[in-house]
Amino acid sequence: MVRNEFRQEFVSPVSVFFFLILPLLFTAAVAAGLGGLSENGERPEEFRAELYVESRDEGPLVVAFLQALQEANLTVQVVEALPEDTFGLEVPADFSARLRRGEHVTVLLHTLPARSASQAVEQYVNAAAGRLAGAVRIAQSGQSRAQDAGIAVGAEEDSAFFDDVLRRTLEATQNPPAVAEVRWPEAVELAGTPGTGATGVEQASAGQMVTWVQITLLGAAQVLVDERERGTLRRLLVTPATRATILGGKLLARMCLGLVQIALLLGGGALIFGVKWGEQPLATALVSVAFAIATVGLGLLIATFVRTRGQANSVVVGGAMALAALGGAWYPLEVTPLVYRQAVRVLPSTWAMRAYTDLLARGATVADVLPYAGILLGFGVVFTAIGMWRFQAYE
Amino acid sequence: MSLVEARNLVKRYTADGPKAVDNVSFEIRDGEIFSLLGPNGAGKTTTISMLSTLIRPTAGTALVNGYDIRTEPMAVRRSIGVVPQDLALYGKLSGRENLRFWGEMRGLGGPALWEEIDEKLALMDLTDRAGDRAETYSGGMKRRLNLAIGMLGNPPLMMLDEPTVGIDPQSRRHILDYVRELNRAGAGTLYTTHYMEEAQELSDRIGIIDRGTLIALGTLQELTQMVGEHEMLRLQLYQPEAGQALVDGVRGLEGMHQASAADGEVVLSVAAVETTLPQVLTKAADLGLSIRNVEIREPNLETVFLHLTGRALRD
Ligand SMILES: Nc1ncnc2c1ncn2[C@@H]1O[C@H](COP(=O)(O)OP(=O)(O)OP(=O)(O)O)[C@@H](O)[C@H]1O
Ligand SMILES: [Mg+2]
Repeated sequence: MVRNEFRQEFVSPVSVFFFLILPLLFTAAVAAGLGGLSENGERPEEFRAELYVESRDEGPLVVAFLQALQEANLTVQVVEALPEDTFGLEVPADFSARLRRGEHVTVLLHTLPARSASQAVEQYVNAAAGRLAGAVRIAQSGQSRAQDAGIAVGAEEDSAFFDDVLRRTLEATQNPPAVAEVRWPEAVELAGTPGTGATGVEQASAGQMVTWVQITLLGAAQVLVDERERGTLRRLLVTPATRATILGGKLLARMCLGLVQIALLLGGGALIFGVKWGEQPLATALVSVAFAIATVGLGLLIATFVRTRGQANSVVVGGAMALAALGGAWYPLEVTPLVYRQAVRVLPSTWAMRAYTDLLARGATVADVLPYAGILLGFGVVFTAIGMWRFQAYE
Repeated sequence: MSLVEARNLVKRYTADGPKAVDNVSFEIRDGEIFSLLGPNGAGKTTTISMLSTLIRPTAGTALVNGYDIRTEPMAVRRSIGVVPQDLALYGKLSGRENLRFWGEMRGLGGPALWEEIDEKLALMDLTDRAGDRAETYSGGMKRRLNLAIGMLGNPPLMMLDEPTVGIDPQSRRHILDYVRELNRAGAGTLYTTHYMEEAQELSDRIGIIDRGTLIALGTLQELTQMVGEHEMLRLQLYQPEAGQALVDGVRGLEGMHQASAADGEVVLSVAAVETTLPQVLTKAADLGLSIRNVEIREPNLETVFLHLTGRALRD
């Protein structure tokens, strides 16, 4: 049974292309896109939020403010008008002038309460504003002391003195001796501590592998329609082999196929892209087997619903893509809101991705991945049980 | 003991759908070739599917080789070899590999299976091409391979569902000869067809099935006697589209039992050809029709079918 399945699959160079070469090409492309290949796989720092700034002031203090924001872990983009649905900051025209006079200034922060990053952005903006205001205070008092002492004379020298003190103060506070580190609880939960997320090439290698292997494994959805359309299903069902044997054989074959593909892609990832798949072979194998069981089980369940090859094809490819995308195979889940992260826990792909990125980014051990493997196996058992049950009544 | 005892089999594919098979009962005795003869959609495949435990009857049951199809499906499956109407082969495998796979699925194996595979290949005249992929075979070769697979393990009962559909006369001859040979070797056979010639040539007994109902059952002789004295007339017209008009015209004639038109032919069942034929010819002339060919036939299965249903059994 198993041998027969293999015979049906590996028949043309085209299938080898889809099976192995295409996934590796995608890994390279996506890794480059995620910025991993060019920078020698440096780990990304803490996640930076994008902040759009619309400034009506072009004074020197705005420049300093932007710098402070940038240093406060925000990626600042100066724009003419704030785009919708982003974090935006409005800086009034009299910003520099009022601050310079020691008056109170208000900047307006457009926030997105639904996004988990909103709190952090607010904090960063406050921190940057506070730092700038403090530095301005210091520069001002320094300046008046200097005037008292008769050091600086004339408006021009005054202002040069001010700028100099401001710059030095800002520099001095850039790396303060003691800081309170800000962490988001959700980020910890998914990918360990910030700063140890997967690199671009790791994320790409794991993500693309999950995506493509899922197509193979979910392909189990096709085994019944294939047999049906070939006319061999009827004949199989009237042989003395039980239905469980028939389906079991098919699923086993699919699983082996998926595991072979995983092994090849892991090998390819390690050889071509230098991804460190080899560090925890046992843990990796465990995750892979559990992932294969869960996804083949889902494929089997789908198989009992679809009635034509066309249907099966679209469900398999569409389903594999959707599972991969939702489960974080195409971009790290760290950039998504909390609700989303909680919702996608119902997908096996989410757990597979977590397990694989943990293996790569943190060198997770067998004990670390055991919970993931357990959850995946649970999925597998449930899917297979329902699928088998439905297949008993399949005509 | 009888090989098959079908008792009041009923099958509805949907809960409120029509009955594809309606209260069918028959028996196949040891070593007998039993044919189910009927037109398209009569319920032949549905009957075989129930007897081979592929689908469950809606009502009724059957004993196959003494086992109940509802409660002992595995024992039934071990007793039968099924040759499905539609080819059931793996095109990517060679003929030999197909036989091996299906043999193993039947629980066979080892040297006995290899030997049997060689023997079946030779019997079906496939030895030369045994190593080629089945998808490269001709239609007739695929049919023969399909048949050989069903015979693996020499089960006591063969179920052949229209095994000769759509093939060349040579392959057909081959298959019919082989079925008879099998039978001589002791296997009972359930054979379905819509070719009355095949049923006539092969069968010990014949069941005629139409619209899900078994309308007649017996040996060829018993069935043709049902028609009584009637003889059959087959007319071919130069105006094939006018067949129905002629049928309508001759219906009331004295001695006319049944009349039907199909595929440009008019088939009549009459009490006495010598009195009725002239009247039919006159009628045709009246209608302005010209007759290309007239055939007078002894009672056969087609007459029987026409007699019972008022319709022609189309070849
Ligand atoms: N799977 C199915 N679902 C619903 N109706 C079906 C199904 N299979 C067959 N039927 C219907 O049951 C009736 C009997 O079909 P069946 O296939 O048994 O006829 P048959 O005698 O084998 O015909 P043929 O000579 O064309 O093979 C037909 O009206 C057919 O449309
Ligand atoms: Mg049929």
